Amino acid sequence: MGRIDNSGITGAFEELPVLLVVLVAISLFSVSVAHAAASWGESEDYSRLQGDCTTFTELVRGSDTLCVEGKDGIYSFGSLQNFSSDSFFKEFNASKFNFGYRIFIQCVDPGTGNLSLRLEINSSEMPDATETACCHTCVNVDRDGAMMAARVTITVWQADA
Amino acid sequence: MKRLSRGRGGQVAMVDAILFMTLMLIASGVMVGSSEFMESDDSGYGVLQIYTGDFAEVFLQMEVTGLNYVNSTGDTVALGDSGISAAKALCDEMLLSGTGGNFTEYENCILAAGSLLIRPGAGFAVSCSPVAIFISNLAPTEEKMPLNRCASLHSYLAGEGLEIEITVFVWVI
Repeated sequence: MGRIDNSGITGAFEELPVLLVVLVAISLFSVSVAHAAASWGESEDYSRLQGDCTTFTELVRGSDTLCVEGKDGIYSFGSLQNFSSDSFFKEFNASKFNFGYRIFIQCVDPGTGNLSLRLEINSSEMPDATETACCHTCVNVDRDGAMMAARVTITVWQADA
Repeated sequence: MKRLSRGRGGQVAMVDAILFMTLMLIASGVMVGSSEFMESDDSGYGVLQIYTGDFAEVFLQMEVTGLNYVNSTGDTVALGDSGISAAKALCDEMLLSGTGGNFTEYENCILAAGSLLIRPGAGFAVSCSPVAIFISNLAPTEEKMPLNRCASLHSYLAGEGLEIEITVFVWVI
């Protein structure tokens, strides 16, 4: 049977800190790679959702239900006042999209400096702790020939699979 | 107990390990940095550019009421309660300002309309030429506007064949 001499013990103790340093370095690198991969994945999902939101916003700006006939981007004040959720949901049926949406319309009245009308349209209740994308836009509002304006905020979220 | 001395080979191995760790740290930094860059460099600029176009189009068509200005003789001229579009109001100001006068109240009306329309968390400015008019809810002068702004340019033909350019800027605060 071999005998461990002083050099063998010294050698083993010398390797331990080296091994530790190498392990720490590899662990750090692995953690950073995992973090970067997760970030890229999240960023890609968010970009896709943001793209959907932008496209959807353009569709809502030209909504047949809300716009003055044949004029994209100009809503009729009467349509907003007597908003028909049935025809709107028929036009923008959430089941056709892979996301849920919330649309918030605020008509502004420069004469009084106030918001003259608020309208909120929800395709479904927004789930808690879900990733959302938000787009803002503006539309003109035709109120008996007077050209007003409205702020439109659209929030979309990924529908459950 | 006798203290064992570290051999030359062990020291070299430790230097190698530290060198390896340094390289790993640099590589980790690059990975984390690139992922942060990916997160910040999303489609935000494109979305703002689209919003700027929509805002400019709607704002310039929006009717502004209660316009009045002080003419060169010091009389206040009220344009009545019937509204005119912000674009026409700006064109009129350019034509009228040639004869002198004070348009501060006039521009405040246009500014108020824009401030009401702009989305929360954003600033805007309107710059006109050839007669320099600058209206903004946040930037005191054209030079003080942030660099990361988006712009939308609109041209109009005013009376006497004068071509007027109105540029609307929007930025995120």
